[in-house]
Amino acid sequence: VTIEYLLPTSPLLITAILFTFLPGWARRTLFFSVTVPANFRATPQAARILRAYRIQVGLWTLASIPLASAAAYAESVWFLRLAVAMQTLGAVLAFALARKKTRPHAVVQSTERVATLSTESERLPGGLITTIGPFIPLMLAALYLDANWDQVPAHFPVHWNLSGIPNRWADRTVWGVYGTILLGAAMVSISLLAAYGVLRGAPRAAGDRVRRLNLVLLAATVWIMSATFSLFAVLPLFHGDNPSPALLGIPAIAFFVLTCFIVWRLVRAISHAEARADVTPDGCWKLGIFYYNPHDPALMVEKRFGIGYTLNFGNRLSWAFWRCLWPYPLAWSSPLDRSRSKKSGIGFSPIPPVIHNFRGLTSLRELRWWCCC
Amino acid sequence: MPRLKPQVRIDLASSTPAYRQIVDQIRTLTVERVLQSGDVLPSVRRLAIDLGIHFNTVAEAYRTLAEEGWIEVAHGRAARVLDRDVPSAPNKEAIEMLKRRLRHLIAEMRAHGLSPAHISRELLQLVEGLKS
Repeated sequence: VTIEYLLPTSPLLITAILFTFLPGWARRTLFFSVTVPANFRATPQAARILRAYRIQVGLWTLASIPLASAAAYAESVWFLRLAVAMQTLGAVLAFALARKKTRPHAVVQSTERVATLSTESERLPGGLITTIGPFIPLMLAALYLDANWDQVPAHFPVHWNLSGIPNRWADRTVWGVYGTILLGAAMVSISLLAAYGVLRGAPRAAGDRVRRLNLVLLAATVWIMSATFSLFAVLPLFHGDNPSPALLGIPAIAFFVLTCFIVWRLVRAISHAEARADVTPDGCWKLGIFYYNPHDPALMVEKRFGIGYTLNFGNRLSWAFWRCLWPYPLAWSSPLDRSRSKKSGIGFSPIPPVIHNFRGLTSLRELRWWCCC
Repeated sequence: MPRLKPQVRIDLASSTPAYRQIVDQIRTLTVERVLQSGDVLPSVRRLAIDLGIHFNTVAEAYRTLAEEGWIEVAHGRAARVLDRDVPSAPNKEAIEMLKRRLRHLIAEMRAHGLSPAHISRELLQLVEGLKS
């Protein structure tokens, strides 16, 4: 058993830890997305429901591990995707079952709503600097690449295997070099859109720190994302045709440390937060995870499963927002990727293959495929 | 000392329509000078999202308040509290209607178990508050 076979299981283990603790990261009056008395968590019934949920998550994780190891053995990323999908679906199922068991203990939700008659405009942490600033490193990276175009190697690696050895390359083309920056700009824009969705389209509650901390987390994500994509774009210039991906470790570690710190603050704030801040009806939470309420004008609401905000799928605008999000996962398995025949195996890269291997639309079939999407 | 931010509290299960609850509360806040002339109210969209009710409900409440002369609503501008003139001689019909509503309210307070002395004390306190 070598590190190559164990590494693919690490995302599963991290996800399992997250799923184990997620039910505790909610307001005291919420248990598996059901409104319960504030002291319900301390009861033996709650402990039994939580234990059953955790056992199920553990079993689904154990069942997924052989698939993840097979990914390293067969050098196919599809096994890893399958393992992650299996574990996630299993956890969602466990959550739905726990929710069903919690429902008999639900209390009647308050029909009272409170709003502050305040016109103070709420701003994103960092204000205009956070809105415009993250685009500057990306722009500078583009200008730097343009000025040093001749020094960009004809082929440079964009994907590394678990031992850090490159296993996919890109060519020195406009798309291959600037694709990373374009994707970075798109990702930053989507994250900023989400932040403004929270600011303008999520209900406020007086003195609720949870909302502010969520916005801080989003602002930090935007900055780290900008740094990652900018560094990745200029990587071939610094290490010639054999760049080391270690440089990317800096923003990755920064992001991890910062996220852990903010999440810790958020969890503390949530457990002390006022219960009345979440007035969304229990019945509108499908599977306890997806919020669908056409009578609620909010675009986003606080999550009941996990931290952060989720879309109100009953709001038509949320579907437009959702359409902005899906091209990224889709890009990973796009027919526009010419490198599909070149098997790159499992590894890491923040950039989907289509970004570096895009050659434009060459057939009517592809055009039709994109139009359908 | 900074002014406390006024709040609107509605009960969706109440027999009183939500828009009426908003109108009554903003009117009360204005009469009690918690909201003063020139104060800006949140936009229809903002208040609807915060209360979790339809935009039209809030728009209806603002329209009613504007018709009564408590606020000024103009297209593309924020709703603003007005310095409303109090009629020097209220008409008899209005007084009768208000007395009727007060009688209903007092009956409701009695039904909730409040003694006449308690009700009287509360009403006096409210009137004193208006004077100050």
